[in-house]
Amino acid sequence: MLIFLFDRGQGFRVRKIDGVVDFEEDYVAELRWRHIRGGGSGGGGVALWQTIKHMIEDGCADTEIPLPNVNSQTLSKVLEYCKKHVEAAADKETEPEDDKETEPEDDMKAWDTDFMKTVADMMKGKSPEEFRKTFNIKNDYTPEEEAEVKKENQWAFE
Amino acid sequence: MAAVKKKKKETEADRLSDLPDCLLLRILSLVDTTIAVRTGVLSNRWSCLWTRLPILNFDSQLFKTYGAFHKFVIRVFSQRCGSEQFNLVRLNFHSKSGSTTVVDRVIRYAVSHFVQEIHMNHSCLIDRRLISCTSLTTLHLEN
Repeated sequence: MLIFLFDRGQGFRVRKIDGVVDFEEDYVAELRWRHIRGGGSGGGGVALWQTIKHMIEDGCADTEIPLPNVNSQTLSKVLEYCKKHVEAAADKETEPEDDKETEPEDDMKAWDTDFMKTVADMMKGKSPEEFRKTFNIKNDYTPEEEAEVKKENQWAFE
Repeated sequence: MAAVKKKKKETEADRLSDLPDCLLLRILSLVDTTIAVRTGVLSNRWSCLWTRLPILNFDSQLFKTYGAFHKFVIRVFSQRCGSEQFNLVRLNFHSKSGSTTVVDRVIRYAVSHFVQEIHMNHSCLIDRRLISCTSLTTLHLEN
């Protein structure tokens, strides 16, 4: 894989290590993003991946591409998956195509489980407000509605 | 200017809430039910999710009193979404002390709502109703 993830303290960046990026293999990353975004096409994740691709293709990202506000765990999962896929694709060139359909399916399930467990672990020990902050969950209640909802939910905080 | 605006918009993206219900429900099924219920205060998106949880995780140790635990369990059952589409699949029940009232309530709910799996640490659980419960595929008891 020709991209690399590292932390700069303020979000994450994708870096081109080598001069050539083989986008034929990157469709998996797009699929992953779409999956994260809930199955619809053209989700923000896909758009983000497209942006990265275009930046590399246009040569305006010779060294680094800033990716502010990408969930670190999500992105590292995507990259991890890309890496795995490229390795698997390299192996498959000599293998028959039989297991091509079942393998990604199982892999996706395992990935889903892992993703959900990560989020669940991040919820543990957090108040709803802390959880909101971690995941940037938007509050669309009006102040009146919020007061009402909090009153209704009080029983779960006792 | 436009780039700054776009950047700000991206920073505010609420990716978790954009996930489909089925995935959020699976995430909420992995945490204690108290945490799941409390997410109802987050936003309209989250307000009723917990009423459709396929898995409930009850743990009396998280409550100050057994009475409070009892009240919580009853409240969760009574506010659950009644649709068959959101039937309870699995119930994890961990209770330190042995109040038969709560256990009885849990069994009644489980049997009448076609639960498939029950995991309990409660020793006095082996109950006739569970033995004859046709929906039940797994009964895990720990002591």
